[in-house]
Amino acid sequence: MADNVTLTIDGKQVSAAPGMLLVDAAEIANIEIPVFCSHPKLDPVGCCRMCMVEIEGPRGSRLMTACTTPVAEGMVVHTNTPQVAEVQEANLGFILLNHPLDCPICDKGGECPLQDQTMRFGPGISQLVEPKRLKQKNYDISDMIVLDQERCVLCWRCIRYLEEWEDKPQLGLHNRGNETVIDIQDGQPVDAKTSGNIIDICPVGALTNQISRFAYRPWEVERTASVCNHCSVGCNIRVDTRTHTVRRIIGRENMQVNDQWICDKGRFAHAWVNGENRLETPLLRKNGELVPVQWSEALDFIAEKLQAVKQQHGASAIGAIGSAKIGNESNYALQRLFRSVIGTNNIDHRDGADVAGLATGLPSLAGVMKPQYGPNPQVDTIFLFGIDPSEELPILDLHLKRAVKKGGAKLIIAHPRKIELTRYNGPYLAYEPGTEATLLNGLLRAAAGQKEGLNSTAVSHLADVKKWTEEADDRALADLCRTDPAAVKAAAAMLAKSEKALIIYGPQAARGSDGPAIRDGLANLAFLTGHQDRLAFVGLEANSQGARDMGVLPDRLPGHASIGSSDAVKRLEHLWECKLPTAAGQSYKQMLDGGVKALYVMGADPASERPEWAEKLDGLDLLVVQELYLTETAKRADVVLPALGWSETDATFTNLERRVQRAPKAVALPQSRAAADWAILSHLAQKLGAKWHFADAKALEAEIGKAAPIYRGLTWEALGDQGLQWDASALKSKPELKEVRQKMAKGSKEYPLTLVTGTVLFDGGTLFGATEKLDGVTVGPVVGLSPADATKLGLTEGAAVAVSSPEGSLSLTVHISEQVQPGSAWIPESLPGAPVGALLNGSVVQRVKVEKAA
Amino acid sequence: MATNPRQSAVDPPSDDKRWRIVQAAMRRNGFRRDALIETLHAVQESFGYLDEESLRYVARSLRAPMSHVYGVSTFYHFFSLKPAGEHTCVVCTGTACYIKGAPGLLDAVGKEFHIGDGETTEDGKVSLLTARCLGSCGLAPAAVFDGQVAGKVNREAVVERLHAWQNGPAAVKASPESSPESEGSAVYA
Amino acid sequence: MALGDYIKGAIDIGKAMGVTLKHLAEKPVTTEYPRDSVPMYPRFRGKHELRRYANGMERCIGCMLCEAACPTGAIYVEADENDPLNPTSPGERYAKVYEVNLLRCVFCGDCEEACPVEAIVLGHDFAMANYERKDFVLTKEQLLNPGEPNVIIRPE
Repeated sequence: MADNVTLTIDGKQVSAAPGMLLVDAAEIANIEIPVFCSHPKLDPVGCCRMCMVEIEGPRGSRLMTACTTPVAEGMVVHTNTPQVAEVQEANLGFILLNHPLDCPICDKGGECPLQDQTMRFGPGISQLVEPKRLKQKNYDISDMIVLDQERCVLCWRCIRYLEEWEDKPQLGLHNRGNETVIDIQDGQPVDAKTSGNIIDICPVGALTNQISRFAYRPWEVERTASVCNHCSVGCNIRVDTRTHTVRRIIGRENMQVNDQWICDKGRFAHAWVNGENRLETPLLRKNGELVPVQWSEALDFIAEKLQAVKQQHGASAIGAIGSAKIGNESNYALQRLFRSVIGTNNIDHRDGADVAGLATGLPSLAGVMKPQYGPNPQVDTIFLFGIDPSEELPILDLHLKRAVKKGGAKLIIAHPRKIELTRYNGPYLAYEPGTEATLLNGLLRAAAGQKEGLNSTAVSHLADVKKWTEEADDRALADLCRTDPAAVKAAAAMLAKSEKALIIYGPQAARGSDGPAIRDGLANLAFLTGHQDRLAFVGLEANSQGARDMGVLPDRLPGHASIGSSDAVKRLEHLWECKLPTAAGQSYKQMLDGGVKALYVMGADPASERPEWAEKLDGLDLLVVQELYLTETAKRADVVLPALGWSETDATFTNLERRVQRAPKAVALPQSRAAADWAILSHLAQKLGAKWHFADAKALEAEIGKAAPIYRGLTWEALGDQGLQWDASALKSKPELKEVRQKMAKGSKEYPLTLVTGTVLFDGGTLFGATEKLDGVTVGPVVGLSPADATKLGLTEGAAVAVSSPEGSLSLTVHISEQVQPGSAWIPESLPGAPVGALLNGSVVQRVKVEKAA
Repeated sequence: MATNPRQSAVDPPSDDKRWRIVQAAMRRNGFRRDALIETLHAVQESFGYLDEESLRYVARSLRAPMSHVYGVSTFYHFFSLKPAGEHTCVVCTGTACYIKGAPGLLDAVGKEFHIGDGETTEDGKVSLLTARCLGSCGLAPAAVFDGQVAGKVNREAVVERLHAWQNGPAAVKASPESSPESEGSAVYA
Repeated sequence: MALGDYIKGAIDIGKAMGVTLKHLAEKPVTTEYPRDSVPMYPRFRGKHELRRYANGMERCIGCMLCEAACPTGAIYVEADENDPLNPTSPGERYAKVYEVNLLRCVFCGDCEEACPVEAIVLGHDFAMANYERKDFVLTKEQLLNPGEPNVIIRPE
């Protein structure tokens, strides 16, 4: 790196990196330069003229814009001369000429840079006697954002954000002079998944939050630094609360995770916290009805029933389901209760056992983010396998776009749908669900044919690799996977050539009976091309990583120790003062398929996933559900316990890069008798005769540090408000090549289409659905078809159809999309009133047919 | 990038031969994004206005965001987003004409034909425009009827002339200078 | 004791009686409260009122500046968006909830001063005694319908 330059600002010596802009250099020296258009995360434009400073030159000093002038050696800058003050005052006078003075009704009032700077630098009185220019006020540019063109000072921040970060230039500057406005085109709403960030960066009240409109005043709210719990990125947010309700959520800077951006789901979908239908008191089934009871009665009933089942059928007839939506403490308490007090390993969570062996997550988000602020890319190629960050992890999507555009990273995408990120021209490997292993063998075969860039240790097995992957030739790829063999070759060549490639895959590719083969296939590919350290499985829920770390798995103890590991067993038996069960427990699926007599469900809703499971739950001896809402599963329970959710109780969440972050209590529910999940479990443990004394979540964290060595030292205080990453180096396994058998997808004449499912951001789930103002953007009960298939079936957009598989049938409407590949039907998960589980019934790959509704 | 920057992968919206002129203008500049204004010039000159379809075509051909294309085309007065009428009437709103009653002329046209600045009558016959100054301040208020400058026009004269245009070319041909002349104002060709 | 003293005493009594008799004929300075009303200085600060415009629209726009200005936290405002077809107040915003806790209020008048639309004023009603604590919280309904509206707007 080049040497720093030294310049003088207001008599202070400042040392700054060459190329740094003057505004940023002044910031280092704690000298205030007022700005509107300049933003540290956006490219400079210099259109507001607020940052004028005097720079001494050979022909006297000149006024220059500090936000576009880079620093230079020996530069002498003045920011507080009378001339500068005059220009600042005049400039504010001009901006205020047409700015309406409706601050009392403006949501920005109180945190508005224009207000602040007018007070500080502006003229005391208005010089305008003519009427102000009139433009559109209170004008929705999407269901979530209101635009007030009168208040706009034309700083371009929103335009630049959408162009530079989202790469979706949906806002533009129209007309000229006095009539210039920022607007959308042809009434096409802004639909970028992180559009809400333009509200945060707007320096005036031109863009305001439609969902939280008039619900808060910046000086009236209590601010809690927290993390979002909608997905596994774990964006840092600030929760603003007032009178026991969450009023709004805004982004908080954490340069390791989300920069300062958050997605629209995290920002706007928070009504569920204060939802009307929240459970507030324990419910016990008496004479077939769930009736409110006291906590003691409910817990006594559970304790008694659990002991009875244990006596009659043994501990292995009892199971517990945890949740990747709930913090580490409660998940830890759940598995401790069932392992040490009940004595069973029947503990799992959704998608848990399928991916139990995948310990480490993403090496680091900052590695992907790095190209944003420097030309020092940490990864040069990113391979997404069966994951759609645009819908599943929007902030990762933002980072990926930035890595591609600014860092020059290359993107390889393998997904059954032609997802949004495929617009970046990397090789796109479409595949038919169920043929992933073949595709990966094809990739491995192509990689083995590369002359350079292969891992030297793996190369010795090249002959073996060529033998296994013989069948995955071009014809198999084209006919079976429906993948373009040329794209496969290009992708393999890119992976081999890459210095540092990041391979990311999601639960879509890792779950089900094919999961192990796919995981081995990816591991083979990563090993052969030398990227085994950067092969990352990412879960999608806020605490997918944490739930696995806590050992909410049938065959893993806290800290990813195998249940057979004598070290871990000894440590835990000493800590928990008990004898641990030795047999591996049942998985989520096995428990729900009828493997247990009593089930304890914490924050999960398996009944809505699959109709068959719902029936099985009815037949249990005991079903306890700990929930926020009366879900389908809770309706079938013998006891329903009201829990406190995210932001109502202190909790820590572990994100996809293993960063443990704090989500403290921000609101209290004064009328509710709900309790924190871990507190309920702790009381239940006491009823069952155990000596549990956890005063608060911090006490549990201290114990987690002892139980799981990877969490040592990650206490509440140590985490701070930016979180800490736990070190995965101790958990690395030795890479090896494993033979992967390709499976033939079963074609069927009766069911011609392959079902593709996955997560969409704006789903109809309990959490998102609670915010009524977002109904307009929620994905309805649709089935996505490719234009070719729709034509073949004679279906048009919006047609009512019946989609059926051998397992069941659903009534949906047709949505024709270029993203859907021919031969497949796309039905997202968690759609309102359309559980795709009815078609799948537990399998991952399913064939369906689509017929016009009768 | 797989696509050749010297070539546009996008086909024109229709078989209209005028698209060739637009394509030629883009090719001349190597389909570069910064040649946007020149391309829009070509569209404006060949079609007389820029409709949404042509803006989209230009945006996709030059790989420029639609917001930029739309922003540029609304910024410059030369570009018009609506088809111009058969005849255009430009009313000067420079200082001299303003004082001598240009707002009254606009008002009269607005009342009679229900069009404002930059708008065209429903039948597509007459467009009304304004200009900053025609340099004919001595003849204020001045207006331009299809390229002919008329001085010292009054409300009735403008309305009559525009009615003549609406009622067909015959009426205008028959008495080309009838209305302004009869009102005692001069027409300068 | 000299005779003079008696005479002096009698004169003094006479003087005093004179004052008494003089005031007997004069109008009394006290009022028969509560039968008669007490005259108030124009700038007296009593019970709060929310004002309306002549067309019946509420003045209050729910900006919460009074709440911010209140030194005792006696005011609670909850704003919402006006129905454009049937607005409660001019502009986009109105006060959905407006409460004044009289037990907390110190009648300093800061809320009046903070109000950008002169919606909240302290009226002349001083009789605010009540039987229950909850009755001391004035609701928006009560504030908008004071018994006798006070129209004096303090200039400061």
